[in-house]
Amino acid sequence: MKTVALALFNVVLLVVSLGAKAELVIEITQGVDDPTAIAVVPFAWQGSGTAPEDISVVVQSDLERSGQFAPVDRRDMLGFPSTQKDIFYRDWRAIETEYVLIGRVSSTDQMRIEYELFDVLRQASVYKGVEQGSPNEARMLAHRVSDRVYEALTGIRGAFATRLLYVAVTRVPQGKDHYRLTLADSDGARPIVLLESREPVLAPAWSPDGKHIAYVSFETTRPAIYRQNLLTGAREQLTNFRGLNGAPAWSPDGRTMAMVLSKDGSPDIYLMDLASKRLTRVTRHYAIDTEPTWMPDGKSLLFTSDRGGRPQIYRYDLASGQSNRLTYEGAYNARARVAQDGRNVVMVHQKSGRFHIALLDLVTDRLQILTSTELDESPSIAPNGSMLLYATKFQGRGILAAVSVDGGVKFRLPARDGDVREPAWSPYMSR
Amino acid sequence: MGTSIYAKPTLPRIIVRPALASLALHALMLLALTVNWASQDDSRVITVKTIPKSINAKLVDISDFQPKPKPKPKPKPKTVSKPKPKPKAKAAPKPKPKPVTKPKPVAKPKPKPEPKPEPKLTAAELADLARAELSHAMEAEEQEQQQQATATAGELAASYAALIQRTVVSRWSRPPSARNGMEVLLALQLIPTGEIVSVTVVKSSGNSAFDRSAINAVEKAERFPELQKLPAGEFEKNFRRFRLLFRPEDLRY
Amino acid sequence: MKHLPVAGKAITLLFTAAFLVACSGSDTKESDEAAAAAAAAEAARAAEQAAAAASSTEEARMREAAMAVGNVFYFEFDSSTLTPQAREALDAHIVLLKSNDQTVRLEGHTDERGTREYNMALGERRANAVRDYMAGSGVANYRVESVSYGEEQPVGYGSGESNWSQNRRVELK
Repeated sequence: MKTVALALFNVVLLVVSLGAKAELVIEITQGVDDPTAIAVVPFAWQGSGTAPEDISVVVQSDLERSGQFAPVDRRDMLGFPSTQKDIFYRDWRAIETEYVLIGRVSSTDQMRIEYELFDVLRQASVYKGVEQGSPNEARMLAHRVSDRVYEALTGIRGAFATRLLYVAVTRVPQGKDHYRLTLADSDGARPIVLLESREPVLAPAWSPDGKHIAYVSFETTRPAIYRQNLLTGAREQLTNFRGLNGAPAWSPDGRTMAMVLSKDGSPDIYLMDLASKRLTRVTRHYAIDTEPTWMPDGKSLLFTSDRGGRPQIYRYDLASGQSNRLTYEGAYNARARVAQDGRNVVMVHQKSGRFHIALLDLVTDRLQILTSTELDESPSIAPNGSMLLYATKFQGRGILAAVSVDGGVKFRLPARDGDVREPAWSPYMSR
Repeated sequence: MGTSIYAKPTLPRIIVRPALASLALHALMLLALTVNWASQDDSRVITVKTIPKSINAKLVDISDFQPKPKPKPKPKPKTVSKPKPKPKAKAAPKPKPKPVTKPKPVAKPKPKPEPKPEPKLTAAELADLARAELSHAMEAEEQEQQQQATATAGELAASYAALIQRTVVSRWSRPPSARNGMEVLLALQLIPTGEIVSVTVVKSSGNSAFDRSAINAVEKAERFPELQKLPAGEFEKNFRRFRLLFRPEDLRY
Repeated sequence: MKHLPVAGKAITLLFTAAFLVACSGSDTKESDEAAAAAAAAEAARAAEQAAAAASSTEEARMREAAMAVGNVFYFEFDSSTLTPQAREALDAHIVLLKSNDQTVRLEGHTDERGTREYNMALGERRANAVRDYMAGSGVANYRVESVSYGEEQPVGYGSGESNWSQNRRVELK
């Protein structure tokens, strides 16, 4: 009987454990998506003298700008650990911190940043990394730390170690304006002037490898497209046609440049083979065809055309030579830019006389207005597709602003002297 | 020999009995298993799928024992959730069942008065009738109350499940790489105080940031103190171990 | 401006005369002929100058008329259609241009609304509308160059129709 009882007992256990298969299941289909609380602890400086750059400040502001994170104020931190053994998870939990990033910086010839990210709730390491480079590039190294942390926590590659091109214009009363084509870090820091001119400079564009740029300059009193090597500064005039020479856009493979020329009459889209400089005409229409941009697969182009009476976005398929209209909502949709996913298209959209940045989802065909100011233009998407920069007016001045692709996060870039316009977000920079 | 003869039948008995027992046990096990499979798939698995808002309306006054400031301010719930629910939780579920039972006792007495017109009844007979009637009514009420009680048990489980759901939803911050339809299944183990003692991934989404966001939503909750109010049986039945299936439906895509 | 070609012609005449003189050598017969040629040249030059003087007063009158109407022509929002006022003003310039063979530059501009590259195209369309109108009145296309500045060079900075209406324009230079 004893054995039987034991056997029965076993059965009961078995049933219970097998019964686990039928546990209560609660489905969670919604969330709140609040920014994640992260403490970027000041990185310990292990070099001589004082640190050339506060790495953790750069990282913290990167993460904050993304809108995905709510960094913990340094003043609220109960300690500044720089090694795992010094982390007291309970302390961090007490101030509702979800993640803690610690690091150590040393510098001889090379700057070396060692850092590690911890999950406070699970008391575990999430990511550990080292960034090394010239001390002059300290800020870029910090952006790389941000990239790694961002990717570890969001599942999306970070785009902080990227750069921006923009045009800054200083008005000269009773004289010609002063144009400066400027290159800066993705946070607007370290601006470098690439070209200065008293004639208009516009339409800056990046090559897909991030090594060249193209732009339109009126320096000869007529518009012409130029290509410039960022490393050497070497520059080449690509076009000098009668009429418009504008809107250069590099193909994803870097070999072809789409552009707008009006040499044959009305503005049309042309492709230039960059090796041979041979031109191919893409559109033939008496209406305005302009602002070409490539789909990430390089198989089609989006462009603006008023062939239907008002400017709208069309898609030109390179294989078939067919153009199809993409936008129907609103009387003005122009200057499209496509995210790397090939799905999100941002553009300038007019509503009630105001110009906003809107996002068109090519899969659902849904158009969502992302901005609420009224003279918004020149949207440029980050290479990871999470944010976009655009130009707008603030207190009568041209400034750059950013918005997340879901419209949830918005901020203005620090204002500088003069008008700032036409931001162009670089691709990922080769490391 | 005799002993051996007597001994012989005993031996098989010893052998046979466990065999029978094991057979019976296996059958029992099979039965238990199949019963479990069948019943659990249909009724025991409470899949709380609905949006919290609509649950609010359906459930057994869940709002009374639920900490109010929960949904929005993320940092606060920890401190707020503990003291509040205790005093109220007890009182809240009880008053509810009563209003539901009301209409029945009222309905019963009515048909009875009809046979009364019969004139020959003595006072004693009348008293007996009244007594019978009363006991009948009481019986009926009792029956209904019993039904009500079982219904309430199911509803109670559902309402606690909804409470857990709401708590987790209010703490779940999805990474931007999350997409509608991604799924991560977590197994939770609790102790009767409502404290979560373990969270494990049963089935990963394949996106570590997404999985982590789900785990941390649970970790942030730490405990569901309201579960202390559950009858022990209910806790054991549904909440000592349960699973959370994270599958967003409200994302942009 | 118009004086330069006249002076050029006079100089050419003078050089021709000087050349003839130089070629004549010391021969008296030839020097007589040379003197006669010089006299003829002198007379021709005087005639030329008189004609130039006459045409320059005529031209001055036309120039004045053109200046009176201004060299900026305005447009409605997102339109490249010439307004009646713009046509009238252009007519004065066309009269002047038909009297000479100068080349002109038409600079098209837009207001700040809308995208930059689309505005660049719109500015060109405006400049071309002026060019086409001039061609219709006999000013050959090759004498006219259209350059669009889009919204890059506003006259009125700032927003609002008062600024925008000033910026939607074609400038004749």
